[in-house]
Amino acid sequence: MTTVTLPPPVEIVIPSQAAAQVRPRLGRRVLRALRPREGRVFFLLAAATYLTAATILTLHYGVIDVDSMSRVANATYVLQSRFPHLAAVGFVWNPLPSLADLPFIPFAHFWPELKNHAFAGNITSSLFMAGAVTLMLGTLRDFGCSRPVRYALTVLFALNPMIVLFAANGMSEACMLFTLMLATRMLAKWLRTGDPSDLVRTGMALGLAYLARYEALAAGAATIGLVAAISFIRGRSGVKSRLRDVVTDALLVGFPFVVSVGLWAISSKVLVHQWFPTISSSYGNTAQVGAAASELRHLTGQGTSEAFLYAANQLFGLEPTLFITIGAAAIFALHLRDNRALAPLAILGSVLAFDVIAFLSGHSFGWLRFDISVIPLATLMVACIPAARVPAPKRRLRNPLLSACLTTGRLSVNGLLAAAAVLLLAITLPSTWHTMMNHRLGREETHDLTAIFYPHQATDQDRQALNSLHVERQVAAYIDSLHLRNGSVLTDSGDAYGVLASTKDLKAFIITSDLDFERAVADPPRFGVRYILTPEHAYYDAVQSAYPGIYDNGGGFSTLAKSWKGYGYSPAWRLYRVTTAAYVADHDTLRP
Amino acid sequence: MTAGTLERPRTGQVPPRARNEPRLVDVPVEDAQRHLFEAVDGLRLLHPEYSAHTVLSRGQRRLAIAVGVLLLGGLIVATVLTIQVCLGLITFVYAAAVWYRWRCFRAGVQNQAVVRVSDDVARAYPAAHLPRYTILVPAYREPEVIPTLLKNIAAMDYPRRKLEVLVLLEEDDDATREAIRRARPAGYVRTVVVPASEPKTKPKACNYGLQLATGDILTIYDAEDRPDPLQLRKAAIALANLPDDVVCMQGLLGYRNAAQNRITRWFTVEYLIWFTHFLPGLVALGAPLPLGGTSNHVRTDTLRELGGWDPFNVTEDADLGIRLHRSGLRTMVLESWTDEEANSDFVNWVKQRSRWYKGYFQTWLVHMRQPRKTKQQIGWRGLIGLNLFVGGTPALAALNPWFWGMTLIWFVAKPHWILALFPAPLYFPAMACWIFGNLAVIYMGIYSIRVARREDLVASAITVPAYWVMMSVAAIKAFVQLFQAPAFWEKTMHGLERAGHRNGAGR
Repeated sequence: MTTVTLPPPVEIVIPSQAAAQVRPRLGRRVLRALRPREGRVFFLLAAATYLTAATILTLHYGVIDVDSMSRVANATYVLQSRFPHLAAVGFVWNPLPSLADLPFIPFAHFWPELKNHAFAGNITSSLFMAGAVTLMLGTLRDFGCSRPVRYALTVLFALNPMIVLFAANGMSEACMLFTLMLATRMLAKWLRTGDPSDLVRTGMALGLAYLARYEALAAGAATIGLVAAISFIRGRSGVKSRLRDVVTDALLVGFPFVVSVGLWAISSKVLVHQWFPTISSSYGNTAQVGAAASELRHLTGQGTSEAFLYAANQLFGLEPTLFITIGAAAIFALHLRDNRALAPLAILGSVLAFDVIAFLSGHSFGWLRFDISVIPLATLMVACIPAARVPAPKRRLRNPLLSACLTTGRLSVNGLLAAAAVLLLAITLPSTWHTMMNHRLGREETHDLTAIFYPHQATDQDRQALNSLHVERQVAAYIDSLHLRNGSVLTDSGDAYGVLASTKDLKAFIITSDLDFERAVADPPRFGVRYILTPEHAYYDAVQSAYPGIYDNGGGFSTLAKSWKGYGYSPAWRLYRVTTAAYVADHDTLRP
Repeated sequence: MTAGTLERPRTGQVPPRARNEPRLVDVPVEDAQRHLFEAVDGLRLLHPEYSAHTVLSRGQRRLAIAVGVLLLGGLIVATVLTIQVCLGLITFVYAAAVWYRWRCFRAGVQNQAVVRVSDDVARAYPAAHLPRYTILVPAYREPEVIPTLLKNIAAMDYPRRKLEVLVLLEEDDDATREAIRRARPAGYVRTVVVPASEPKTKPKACNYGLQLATGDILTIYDAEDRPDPLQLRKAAIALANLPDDVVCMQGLLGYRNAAQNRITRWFTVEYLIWFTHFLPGLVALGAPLPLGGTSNHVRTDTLRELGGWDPFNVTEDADLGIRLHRSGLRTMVLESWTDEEANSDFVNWVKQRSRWYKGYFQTWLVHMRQPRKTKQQIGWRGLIGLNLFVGGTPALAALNPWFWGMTLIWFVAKPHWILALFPAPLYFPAMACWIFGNLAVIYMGIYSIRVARREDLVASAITVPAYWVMMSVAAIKAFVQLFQAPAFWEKTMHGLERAGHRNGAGR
C-alpha cells in the first residue's frame, strides 16, 4: 500500500489580492474618499479660512492685486477673445496660475465679480494655499512629528500673516508654494527610502513648479545637484558604476523638469519668437526692473551696499529665528543621522537664495513676497527638533518606580523639544506682521493692510489700495455701453488687463494676443479700428511705441472721446475715437 | 531517409542504443500523418473563429470595404473635412495607445504583480512532488547553436526522470540533425522530426510536438536560450500553489549580449520595460497577456483542450495568451530570467520585428472578429487591453513616422496648405500628444533601467527615438506583409553574438 504524501507547504510571494481583483465600485470609492482624514479636514478648514479672507479682502474692501487681475485676464483671453486659443495665456509669465483660473471664467456670466474683481484668482490661490497647508501636514508627519506637534506647527504655518494674505489675494505665490511643497515632500521621501518612484514624483513636481514660477529653476538645479551628490555617496563600488548611478538618478529627477523648461521655451520661441520672454520681452521682468531702477535704488538701496542690509531686514523680519532653527535642525539631523532636512533646504532654500541674489544683482524688485518661501522652510527646519523625540522603550521595566521616572523624564524631554519648536515658530508671527506693516520693507503689503486694519493711520496712498481697479471697471462699463461691434477698440493688454477682464464683451477689443494685432497697430484706420484705449505712464505699450504721444494728442488720426483720472495703481485712461475721414464714411455702423 | 531504429523506452526497460545513432522519437507513419493533420488544421477546424488562417473574417471584410467606400466618397465630396476627421482619429488612436501604456506601466510599478519563488525554496522542494515536464525546443537550420543548447539544458536543475526534452526539427534540416547526433545528448533529450508541410512555422512544429509530449507541464525554449536553472522548479511550484485558473506562468526574458552594439542595447532596454513593467502591469489591470516567445510554462492538458497553438499566426505565443484569457484562464509573470540573444544586425532585426508586428496585427484581427463575444469573455478591461496594447503596439510604431513628418513640416516649412488642411485645434493636440507620448516612453525606459540596476544602458535609454525609426520601418513592412503573405515566417538568424560580448550578470 502506498502512502500518499502531500506536497510541502511553501512560501512563495504572489501578488496581493488587490493586484488581481477588480477595483471596488465607483460608489464605494467615492465613499472611501470622503472618510474624514486629517489631511482632508485640514484642507477644508484652510480653504474655508482663506476663502473667507479673500471675500473680505477683495469683495468687501475691494483690494485687488494687479498681478492677480493680470492672470485672470490672461485666462479670459484664452476663452473669450476674438481669437480664443491656448497661446493667449501669455508667455511673459509662466502659465500655471492663469490656467488654474480657466475653469471659473465661464461662470463669470452669472457672477461678474469672478472677472471684474479677479475673484477667480482669489479662489485658486486659496485652494492652492490650502493644498500647501495639507502638504505641510503630510511632510511633518513624514518627518516623524507627533500629532499635537504637527497640528500646532501646521496651524502656525497656515495662520502666518504672509501665508494668509497670499492665500487670499490671488497672486501666484500660493501656486508656487503648493508645487514647491509637493516637490519637497517627495524629495524628503526619496532621501529616506531611495525608491526611484519618489524621485519620479519629485521630478514631476519640479516640472509643475517651473510652470508656476520661473524661480523654480533654482529649485530644479539645486535638487538635481543634491540628488547627484546623495546618489554618488550611496552608490555602488567603483567610480564608473557610481557615476552611472548618478547620471541615471539625475535623469530621473531632472527629466520632467528639463522637459518642462524646454517645452515652455520652445513654445515661447515658436509663438512669440523669444526663448525666455520673462527676461527678454519688452513686457518682461528685466524691462520693468530696468524702468524702475532709480526708484528702486532710492527705496531699497539696490545697487549699493545698503541693499544687503535691506535684504537681510526683509528676511529676518519674516523669520527672525531663521539661523537658530537651521542650526538646531542641523544638530538634530546629524544626531539622528537623518538627511531629510536637506530637502526643504535644497528646494525652498534655493528659491530663497535665487530671489535674494536676483535682488542684490539688480534684477528684481525686491518685494517682500519674494521671501515667502522662508516661511515653510523655517517650519520644516523647526520640525526637526521635536522629530528627535525620545521614543517609548520597547519593553517595560519591571521596577514601576524606575519605569515611572524614565517615562516622566522621556515625556518632559519630548515636551521640551515640542515646546521649543512651537515657540520658535510662534514668535515669528508677530515679527512677520510687523515687517509686512513696515512701509520700507513691505512696500506692497503695507498699503492694503494699513488701510484695512489701521484706517486712522492710513495715508492717501494706503487708502488708494482699497476699491482698486475701479477706474478700469468704469472704463469697461463705458465701452460696453457703446455696444460696439467686434474688433472696434485697439488696446495693448499689457496695461489694459483690468479693463479687458471687466468688460462684458471682450470681442469688441483688439488685444495683444490677437493674431491680427500687429496689422491693426500698423494702420488702425484702414484696419477698421474705431477707438484706441491708451494709458498714461505705461512700462511698454505697443500702440504708444508705434505712435509716440498718442496719449497726449491722438497720434494725428483720432480725437479724445473720454478720459478717466488715475487712482492708486490704476493709471489715467484716455479713449480716442479714430476720425480719419475715409474710415468714418465706410465703417460708421453700430452693432445691431 | 533513415527512420529511427530505436523505440521509445518503455517503462522499466532501457533498450540498447546503437552507437552514434540519434535518439529519434519513432512515430509510425499513420500516426505521423494524423499528428501532422492535427498540428496544421486542428485549431482551424475545431475553432475556426480563433484561427488566423484567414486574415479577415467575413464581417471584417465587409466592414473594411464599407470604410474604404466611405473614405473614398468622403475624399471626393468633402476632401478637407475627411482628411481632418482622419487626422483626428489617428491622433485619438495614438493618444489612447500611449495613455494605456502609461497606465500599464504605472500598474506594473505599483502593484508588483510578479510571482516570486525563492531559490532556496525551489531547490529544497522534494522531487517526488514535482510534475513531469516537457520542454519543446523548435530549431531550424541552427547546427552551430546545438552544443550550447545541450549545455544549457544540462544545467537545468530538475529530476531527469521527470524531464523530457523534445528537439523539434524539420524534415529537410539535415545539418541540425547531424549536429545533435554528433553532440550525443543525454537520454531525456530526444529529437522529433516534423514531416514537411505548409505552413512551415514554429507553432506547427510545437503543435506536432505537443501531441507527443508526456509532461504535465510544458514549456518552449529557443535553441539559443539560457534559462535560469531553477526555472522549471519555480514554475511547477508556482502553478501548484496558485489558484486553479492560473494555468500559465510567463518567465522574464532578457538579453545577454546587451553590450554588443547599439541595437542590442536598445533591444535590451525595450525588453526590460516590457517584462519588468508592462506585462506585470497588464496582469494587474486584468488585461489579456500576450505571451513571450519562450519560457511560457503551460499545463499540457489545458493546452490540448484549447487546441494548441495557431500555426497560421506568426506570433502564436501572443495569440495563445489571448485565447487563454478568453477561456477564463489566467497567466501570471514568474520572476525567473531566461537569457536570450538579441538581434544585432539591422536587417535581421527588421525582419524579426516585422514578424512580431504582423503577428500582433493578426492576433488583434482574429480576436476582434466577434467583439461582443470577446467582451463577454474578457470584460471591458480585457477588451480595452486587447485593443490598446495588442493592437496599439504595432499601431504606435506605424503612426510615429506620420507624426514625425507633420512636426518636421511645421518647423522646416510652413506651407499654406498645411495650415488649411490641419487647423490649429487638430494640429496642436496631435503634436502635443506625439511629444508627450514619446517623452513618456523615454522616461519609462530610464525608470526601468534604474529599477533593474542596469544603469549601463542609460545612454541607450535616452537615444531611443532612433530605435523607433527602426520600429516604424518594421511596422510598415509588417502591415504590407499582412496582406501579401500573412503566414510567412521570417526566420531570425541566431548565433550572431560574439563571445566577448556576453553579459548575463546582474540578476
